[in-house]
Amino acid sequence: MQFPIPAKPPVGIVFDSAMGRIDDVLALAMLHGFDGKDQARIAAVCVSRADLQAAQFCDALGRFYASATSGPAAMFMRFAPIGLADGKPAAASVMFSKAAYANAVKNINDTADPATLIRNELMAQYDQNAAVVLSGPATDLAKLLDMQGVKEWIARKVRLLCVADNGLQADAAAAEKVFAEWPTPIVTAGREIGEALPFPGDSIEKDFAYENAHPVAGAYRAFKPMPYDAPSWAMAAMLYAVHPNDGYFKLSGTGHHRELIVDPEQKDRIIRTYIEMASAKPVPRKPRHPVDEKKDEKKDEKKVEAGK
Amino acid sequence: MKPVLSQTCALCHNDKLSSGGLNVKLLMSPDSVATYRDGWETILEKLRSGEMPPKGIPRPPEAQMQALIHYVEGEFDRADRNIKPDPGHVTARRLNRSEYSNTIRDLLAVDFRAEKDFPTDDSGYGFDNIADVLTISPVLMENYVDAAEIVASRAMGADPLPKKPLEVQYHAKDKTIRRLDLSTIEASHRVEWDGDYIIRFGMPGARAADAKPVTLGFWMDGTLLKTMPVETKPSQLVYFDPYSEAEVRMYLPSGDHVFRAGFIDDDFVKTLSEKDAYSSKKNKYLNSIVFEGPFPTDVERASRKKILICDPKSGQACVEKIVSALAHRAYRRPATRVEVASLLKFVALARSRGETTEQGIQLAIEAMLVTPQFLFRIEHDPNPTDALDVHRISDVEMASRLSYFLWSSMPDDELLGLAEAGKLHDPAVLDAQVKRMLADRRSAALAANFAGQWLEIRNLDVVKPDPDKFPEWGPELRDAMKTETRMFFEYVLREDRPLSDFIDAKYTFLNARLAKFYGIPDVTGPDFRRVELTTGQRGGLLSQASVLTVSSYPTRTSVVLRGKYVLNNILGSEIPPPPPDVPALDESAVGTLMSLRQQMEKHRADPMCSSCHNKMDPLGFGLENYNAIGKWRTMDGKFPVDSSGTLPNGKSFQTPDQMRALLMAGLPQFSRCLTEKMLTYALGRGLQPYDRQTVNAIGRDMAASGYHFQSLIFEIVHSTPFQMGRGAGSQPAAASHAALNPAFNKELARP
Amino acid sequence: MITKKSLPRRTFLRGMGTAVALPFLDAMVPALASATTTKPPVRMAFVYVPNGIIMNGWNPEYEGTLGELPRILKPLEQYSQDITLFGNLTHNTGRALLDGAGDHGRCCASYLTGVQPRKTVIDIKAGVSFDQIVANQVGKATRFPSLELGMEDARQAGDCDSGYSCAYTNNLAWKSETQPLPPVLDPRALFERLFGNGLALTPAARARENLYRRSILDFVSDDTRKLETGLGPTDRRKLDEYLSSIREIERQIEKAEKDNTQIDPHMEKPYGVPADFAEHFKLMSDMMTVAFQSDLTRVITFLVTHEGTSRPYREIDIPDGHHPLTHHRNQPDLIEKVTQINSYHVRQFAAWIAKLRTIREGDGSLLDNCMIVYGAGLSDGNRHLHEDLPTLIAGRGGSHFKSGRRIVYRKETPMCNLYLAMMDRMGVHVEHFGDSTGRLDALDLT
Repeated sequence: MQFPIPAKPPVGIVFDSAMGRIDDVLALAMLHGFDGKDQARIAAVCVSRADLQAAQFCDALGRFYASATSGPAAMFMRFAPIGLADGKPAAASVMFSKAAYANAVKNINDTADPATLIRNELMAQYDQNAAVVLSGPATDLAKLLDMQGVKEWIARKVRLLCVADNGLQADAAAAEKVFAEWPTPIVTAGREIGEALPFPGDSIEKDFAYENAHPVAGAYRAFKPMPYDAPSWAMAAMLYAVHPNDGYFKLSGTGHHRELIVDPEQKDRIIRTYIEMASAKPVPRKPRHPVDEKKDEKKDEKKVEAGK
Repeated sequence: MKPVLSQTCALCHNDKLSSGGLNVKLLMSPDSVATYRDGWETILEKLRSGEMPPKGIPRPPEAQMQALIHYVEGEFDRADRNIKPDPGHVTARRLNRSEYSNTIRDLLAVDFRAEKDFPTDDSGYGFDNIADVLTISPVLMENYVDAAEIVASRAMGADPLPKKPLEVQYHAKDKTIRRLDLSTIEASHRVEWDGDYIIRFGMPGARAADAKPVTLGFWMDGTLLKTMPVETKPSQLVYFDPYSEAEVRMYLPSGDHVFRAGFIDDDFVKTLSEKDAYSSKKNKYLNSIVFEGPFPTDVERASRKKILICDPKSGQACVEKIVSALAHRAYRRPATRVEVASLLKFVALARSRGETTEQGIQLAIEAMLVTPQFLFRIEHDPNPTDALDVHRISDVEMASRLSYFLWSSMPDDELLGLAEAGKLHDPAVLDAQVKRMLADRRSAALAANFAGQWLEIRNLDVVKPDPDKFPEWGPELRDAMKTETRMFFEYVLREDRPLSDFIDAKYTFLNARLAKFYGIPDVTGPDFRRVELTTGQRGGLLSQASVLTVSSYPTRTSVVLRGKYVLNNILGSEIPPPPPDVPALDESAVGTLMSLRQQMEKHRADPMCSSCHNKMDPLGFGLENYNAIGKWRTMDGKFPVDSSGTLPNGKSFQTPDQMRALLMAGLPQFSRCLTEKMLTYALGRGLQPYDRQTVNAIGRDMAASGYHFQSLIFEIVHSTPFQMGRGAGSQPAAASHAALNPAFNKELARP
Repeated sequence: MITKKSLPRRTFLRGMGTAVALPFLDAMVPALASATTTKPPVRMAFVYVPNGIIMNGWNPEYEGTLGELPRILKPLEQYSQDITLFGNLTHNTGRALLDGAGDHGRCCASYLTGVQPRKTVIDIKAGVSFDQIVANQVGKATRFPSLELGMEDARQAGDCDSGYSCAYTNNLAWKSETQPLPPVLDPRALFERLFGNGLALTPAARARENLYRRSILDFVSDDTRKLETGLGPTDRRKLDEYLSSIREIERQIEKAEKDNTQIDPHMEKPYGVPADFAEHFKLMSDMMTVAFQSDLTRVITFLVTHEGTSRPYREIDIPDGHHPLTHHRNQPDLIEKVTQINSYHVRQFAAWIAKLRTIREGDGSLLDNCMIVYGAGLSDGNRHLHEDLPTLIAGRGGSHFKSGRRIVYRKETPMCNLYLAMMDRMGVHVEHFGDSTGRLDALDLT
């Protein structure tokens, strides 16, 4: 039926990070929180450092948030693969080395090539309804740009690339390429953003206590001795990518590349959002209705015959 | 209009709630009717059917509702009237399989079954004669070339008969015979040459001394060719192994055929167990068919008569005459001199290689049958790239449109003659021709092709009901079901009955087999005849076993399949596909733990499901008294059948015939549905928004004249899209498609 | 018994009721007519089964050298050194990607084309399938550039998959983005197509037939070109399809004349379509064997039953439709039935592979020179998943592949990457196909 207001799903986020700092983990948690509140959808999660444990953690985190869903909707849940950079295995991060959470990633073949994964997921987004958040080296995005026909897909589907200035220099050539060739506007969260908006460490004890072995809390405690506050670049980039028009940040400059500027008046609000979303409890997924939320058609269709 | 919208509709369809995706706030202004035309069409449909406003919502006074409906309809008409009539463009259309077979039959009097040799035609919009969908592949082209050789050779009777007759035997012991039931055997045999054949039926065994004779029937491809009485009691002579034969000599046309021999109405065999039925001591039964032949026949090959309108030995003038006449009929228009000259070159080619003139003519026929002028129906637009250049199609093109619509075959000499004389566009002449064509035997093609696809009856050839659950199912019953619906459709057509007969009628067409299946007494013999129906168990299409079988699963009925069938094919409503995460039906529980109805109740419980299922399920429930092969039943396993239901407009019914009575109220909707389908079939393209005017106009005329079936045919023939054509435009047709199908429109709604 | 009193030309075609073709009497068929080098050519075939496969009956727990195989693949265990199993190959273009329901239409249309088909019932559009890209080049050397086979007739009426045309579920190979190549279903029709009436014709008669056919086709092509000038774009497109089909036949005739060999298939002409699935499969696979052996073609696609089919399998006592069963919702008895159907299919396939192994060619067997892909367009038919598609290749592609292994690639690895690798083995080099991201590696001996 052709009616005036078709419902469009919330923005699809591609998150590509080195998963090297707790900041990245918190950003991923925040993304899950947004997803649970239907403010964003997780399109793809990639790890740009060749750390298998990081990929395992991301997969486990996804399952943690999915654990709230049961019944028929659970049968149809599809766990999208995690992207993992290949190459010489990187040193394991302290965040993940101790704990072992239930996940389905045994070796590199249980992960996807990041560029392929991002391309596939972007094709399933509505036009101008996706955003990419980068926190780490731009290697994966550079590879993505080189793929056949992908630039057109990016231009069509992606609104915005949000870069957290956090490890970009590990691959200077890729960073240069991406900044030169990326077809959509780019917004950077510079060094000063992170320091200005630290994630408060005491939130770990308070807000994440609902779950005994909360993966995010575990990673936080393992990263550095408690208590500490974590400066966050990735979270800022993530927040802006999901809510660019909600006045959390101001933008400097004009044109294709701009920088986030912290508005002192918004600091409290931003931190509160960080805490609320990163610590959000897993939300049970309801069965979806095809007309409204087409992006999730990827999560399986069911033909009529068996049901009747 | 605004008060109704804001008081009644906005309760659910507002900014916050947007039920079904509709927010009436945006429809408040008058021009919304034009801008959101498709949306308003859907609203109108729901208002008319009484679905909206739903029960529980205070309904405005009837007068106001009617005023709203009339207002919207008026707006539609106004908008439509301003659209310049657009007949649409039909792409060059290749003959589909049945059109090819029929055309060969009418052109050359040769029986060629394209259905056996050519790949399946792709369908679109439910029909396999849609111009844009019919593609041609190298395999099909090879088939056409091969077919042309075979057809030309058969037509000319080119192959001499073998000097001595051949014998081909099909015997149970070689496993070349299929046993259809205890009394009937079947064999597939390819008759290589037209001619007379002696067919012998071997029957071992003997029954008791007082056994009655039986009638032996002989069928070819489902048609009864001959019956003869056969004695079953032991013969006076002494045999260790009793054996007798029956024999018949008759003309058989060449081709692949399925031959059947069986004892008709053989009550005796029913008293036997299967083992005894094939015991020579207890029974006489068929176990072989032998074909001996061909023998020279007196039957002059009809095809040669048709082709050789003069004696080719008499000279070149005659050869030219023959080839020219053939090309004229094959191309469905007079052939140009250049065309005839090129065809004559083939005759010359054959002669240059020392072959006879007849062989040359045969080669020319082969060539004709492969040309695009034969294989395609191409209409000429004076300005093919100008999509605005609307013009009347020529009489000759009209003749082909008519004949392929009503006969699925080429125009005959009378029709083509009138067209070439320029008389066909005269309304009186046109109508007289349509009347003649409908009365002609060839209009049975409408039953085979239109009804076969509209009602999905063709699927009877592929459905496979579970033999354990439905032991009565078999080729004989299936063929009987097909015949019933076919004859019913043809009757309504030829007798110009009102369309309401399709929904419910007090008569149908049965033979003994089917009548027994339906539980209707006093019908004997394998032939079909009209039977008056005295109970409400049967009546109309929705009570015919064919329809009920194609809308079921192999192992059980399906309320949803049947509901969807009625909605799509009778009421013309589209239903979107179901959402994911639908729990499966527990099949083994049906009938034992819970009745089907109880399990289906879950559709009502969940509001997300009920929006569509409230429309579908009641229609399916109303047919639950018919099992998966259409037999009447009052118990479904352990549970009594409950065929009651409530339609979305609130009216309820207890039995199938009550449901049919309520569906009668939907006659205008049915007429519209049938109009759309038949218009699609007649035009060979899907309907577009600019066809609405035509459909609406036809609807009005049908209502005024009492919904007689033939009126629909005449209306279609008189309509703009049938009589006019236009160029395709410089854009390929694909770009301008925006079908009337609302489900299709959803895809266009993508942001 | 059948008695023949005389044998005129046409009764070489004997009626046999529900006949079964005799098995190969003799595996020695004449050597390849058009082999110009001593190395036999590489052949490629696809055997496609619909509605997905029960994956835990298909995927072994291990990677690397194949040992014991799970239940569905058991019939192939004795030939495990000749097959290569693939893990994690994906067709992203079969997924919904905003188009809603219709996984069956999509997965079949995208299987060999690597593009998502247009969601429509009439103006169909997919892409060129890669077997046709190969056929266009390699097929120049053979009588038939490619063969398309099937076993199931399409549904006659009604729609096919949630707004996707039946053309998508009934065809594997696509000559152009709008022209599918319908499979030949009837073994007799296939037999006639491959071997024709040839055996009964004298060379002179055959020459006459070819001459006449060529004259007719010439005449018709000329005629059509003249006709086209007055027509609009859509009509011209239809007639172009017609012309290209004619050219194709002309080419076949030319090739047949040049070769001037008559292939003796050493089998009876089948009478028609057998009712029994296994019989039907055997007839088709016997003819595929001869087609490869005699180099009638090097590219075959075999759509075993069409995608989304609801065919019941009474041959193995399963009266329920295939498709409804595959939506098993994790119920064990339904899973069991589907597993039986999947195994049944593999059993037929294994019989064919066994046959191909017995035929000597060059230094090894015919199978060694083939790449026969057996696979499905969906993995989990219940949830309609398009990743980790069950795929195996039987054969070594001309002694290229290091077979006898299970190779698991990374998740989301496009199936089209395998196609690029296969195209290389067929001697056709293409940089990109469908949604490929590179060539599959780790396949070869060196």
